[in-house]
Amino acid sequence: MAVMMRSRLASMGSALPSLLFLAVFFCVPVAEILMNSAFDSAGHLSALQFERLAGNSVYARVLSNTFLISFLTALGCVVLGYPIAYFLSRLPEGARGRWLVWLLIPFWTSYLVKTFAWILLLSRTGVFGTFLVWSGLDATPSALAPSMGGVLVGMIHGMLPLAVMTLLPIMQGIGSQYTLAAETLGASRTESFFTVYLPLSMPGVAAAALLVFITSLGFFIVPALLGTPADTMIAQLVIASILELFNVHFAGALSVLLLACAVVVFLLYDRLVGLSTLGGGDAARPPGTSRLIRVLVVVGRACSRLGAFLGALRLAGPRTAAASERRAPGLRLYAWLAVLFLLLPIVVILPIAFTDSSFLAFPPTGFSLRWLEAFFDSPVWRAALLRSLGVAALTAIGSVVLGFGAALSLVRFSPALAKTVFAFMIAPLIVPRIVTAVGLFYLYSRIGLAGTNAGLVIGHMVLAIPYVVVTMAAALKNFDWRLVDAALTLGASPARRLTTVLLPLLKPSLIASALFAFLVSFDELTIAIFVSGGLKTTLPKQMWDDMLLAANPMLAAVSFILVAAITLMVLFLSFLRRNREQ
Amino acid sequence: MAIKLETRGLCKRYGEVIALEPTDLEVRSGEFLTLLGPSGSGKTTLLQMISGLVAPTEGRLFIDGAEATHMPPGKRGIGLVFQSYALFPHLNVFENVAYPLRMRRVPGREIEQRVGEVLAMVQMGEFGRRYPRELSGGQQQRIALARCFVYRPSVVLLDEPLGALDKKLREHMQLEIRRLHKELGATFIYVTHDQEEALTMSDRICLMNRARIEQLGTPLELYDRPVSRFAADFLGHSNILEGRARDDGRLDWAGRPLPLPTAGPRPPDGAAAILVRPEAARLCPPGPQAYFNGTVAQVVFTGADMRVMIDPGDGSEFLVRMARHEVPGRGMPVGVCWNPDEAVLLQR
Repeated sequence: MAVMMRSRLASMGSALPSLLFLAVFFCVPVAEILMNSAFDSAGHLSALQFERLAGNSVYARVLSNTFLISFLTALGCVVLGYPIAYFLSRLPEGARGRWLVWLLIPFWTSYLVKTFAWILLLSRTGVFGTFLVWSGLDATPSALAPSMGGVLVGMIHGMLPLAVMTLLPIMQGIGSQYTLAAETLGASRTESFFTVYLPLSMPGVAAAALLVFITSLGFFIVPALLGTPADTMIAQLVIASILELFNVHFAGALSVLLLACAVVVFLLYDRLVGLSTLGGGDAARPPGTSRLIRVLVVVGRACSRLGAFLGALRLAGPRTAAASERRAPGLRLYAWLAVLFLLLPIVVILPIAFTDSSFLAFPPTGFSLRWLEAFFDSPVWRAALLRSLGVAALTAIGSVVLGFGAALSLVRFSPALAKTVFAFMIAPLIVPRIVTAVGLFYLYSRIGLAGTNAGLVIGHMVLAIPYVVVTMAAALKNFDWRLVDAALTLGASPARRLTTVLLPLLKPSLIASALFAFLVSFDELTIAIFVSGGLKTTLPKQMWDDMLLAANPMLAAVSFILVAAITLMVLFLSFLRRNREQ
Repeated sequence: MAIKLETRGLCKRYGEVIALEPTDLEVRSGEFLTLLGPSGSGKTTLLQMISGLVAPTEGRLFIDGAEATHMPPGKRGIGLVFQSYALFPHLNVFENVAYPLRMRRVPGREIEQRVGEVLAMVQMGEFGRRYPRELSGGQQQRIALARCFVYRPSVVLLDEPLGALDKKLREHMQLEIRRLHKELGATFIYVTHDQEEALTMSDRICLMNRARIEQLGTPLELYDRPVSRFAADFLGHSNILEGRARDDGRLDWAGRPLPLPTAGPRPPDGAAAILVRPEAARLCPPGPQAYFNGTVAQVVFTGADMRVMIDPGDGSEFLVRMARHEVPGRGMPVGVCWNPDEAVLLQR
């Protein structure tokens, strides 16, 4: 009955528009790039670009650099994020919601704003430098950025929330009965952590590490702004070869390389964690670790002894329910410090937005609204803001319509077909943005969409549809289809069933996915760099251009507006969720 | 018999909510004790405090005469079989069962031998390499039992271990658990809300209601001599006749004088109730020699016997069980009587 209903409401057809859309605006441009890499400018098949890549030690350096930075970022995010996620997963629902607000604000804050904050903190005349001079510790401090360290700090700070948000649902899925069982079977708390909890949480660790790694591979904002030329990453090279060298074939070769890495990592992810976890599917299957158990037992025992020796080490979960009421104070302190690390850089920008000085300096001098006024008075910035808002709104509407249709089809496909279609739908998340952007750049220049708002909206929809599909697929998976059947037996027509049952019940998820799509577009820089041009710039693009020239207080004012908007949105989303739970 | 485990004033409160009133309970060495009660009666809380997973608000716990109130769960010599089995999904059957031995630093060769033995005992010897997700519910249940038995705990706690199984399998596993109890000679404390399960399996039943012990005794004692209406109602089918005790030693039930049991204490004047089990009552020709007269309201065939509902004339129902060849037709007038000594005067 339920299956019949679903087939009527969401026939195969509801997935078609999104499939077509992605085929034209995602598959075609990406395929074209890949083709370009294999042909020379005369149209003959040639491995020239790859020979050039392999033959030049500069490129080899950029490559190894990209991998090194991505690897260290992933490692740092997982190591720093694991205890935070563990702490959050043990909290009761309400308290976790309050903590999540503080994580979601940095999670959704633009990478540009976060990176700008680190410029302010780490440059020679920045906050740390000023503090060193003021405190007399160092009269002539050297700049902490640009440097490799600066890049790593910026990258880890930027992606730590992503790692935590990936780890959290998988940790929440680990029932407390497993660690409790281990303890009744004779394990100490530390032993139970190492032999039971850690292996059960490995899918989350793998997911977080791979997602951060894959995002880092195609990253260019942080290394461009906080790194030296020696820290150049591959995505910067792609941008340079297109915008400065006009060499599409070489950019294609670089993109192939990026894409290949991303696909390998993605396949690893599917193998280790399972793709379906992204769509709210079955709980991740932990890999069988029977062969490793002896090692884990020894590690657990050693750490248990060490813990007993140190006396105060509280690593593992609560021994008894009473102990969970006490909660580990060390972990809570750590979580506070981590949230401070995530939020402080963003907070530091805010007073600078109200400086009356014409230069960036810390501490800011005076108080004035001159930079906020200047922002709204400037035709360039105002136009950029309005364009960003308009493009984001259209992107939200378009991707929710297409993505919701796709999600409706997904729930009634056979598992094998659903998996394939789902993988295709979220492919724009996996393919590095820079590759998609370069592909669209060439497609647009042929069909006359370059530099148009329509081009921007289409490009952003390609990126936003996966978020909508993931959110709505999860919501539909938990949806009680018997309610629709009930409406049918009560005499509701298909349209009435949609408007009186399905849409009202899915409203929170629809609003959430529309907001996700809006934010993805509003914060998007990569496609904007290639597609918007001249006067038709978006807010992130305008910020990027300004930042490349010189950091100025206007950027602080813009950042203030963005952070304020994000904060309001996060609070609104958490309010929505609390309402839904009640 | 020696006392294996004892609670003294053991009690648990969550804020204002009382999960378990101060409770005294003695569990004898080697017995099969069932904690029986409806949900929220405190039986699982009591079990969790015995296992050490929940700390008591007040009171003390003794195991083998030694204080164990604040001992970590792993040090109590207790085995707990979880309702959800809690088999480690990342370990295969062999490693699940070997886990408690590894924690106890048993040498590798002995682990192999003991895991092999205990898997054979629960008839799962072939399944060592399988993962829990590849097993059926009944098979997972056996592994959970094996994981608990392998380190030979002297007390085994089972928290509604058969709740997730279908009726046929449940009955099979009940016998299995009884067999394992005999084989191991350990003390079993078994939590269930299924009264039939409690009656068939237990040496003694601890009936719980509203966060305290309602009655403690053998299944026969609980069935034949329930102390309260709750106990009478919870175990088996029952007819509870409420009325007023009269001076002549009879119960005034809606104007009809009913005989009170000859044995046992007399009730103080006032409200009183007697329990008549459906199998203790019988039908007789209507008339003054019957305790009361009524009509047959409904006849239900249950397989082994017939259940006959008698309407005494006021719309209420009195249940009588009888062999199928004696059953009267619907609407027939009948009389009901019973041996007064098989009725029970309920104290509460």
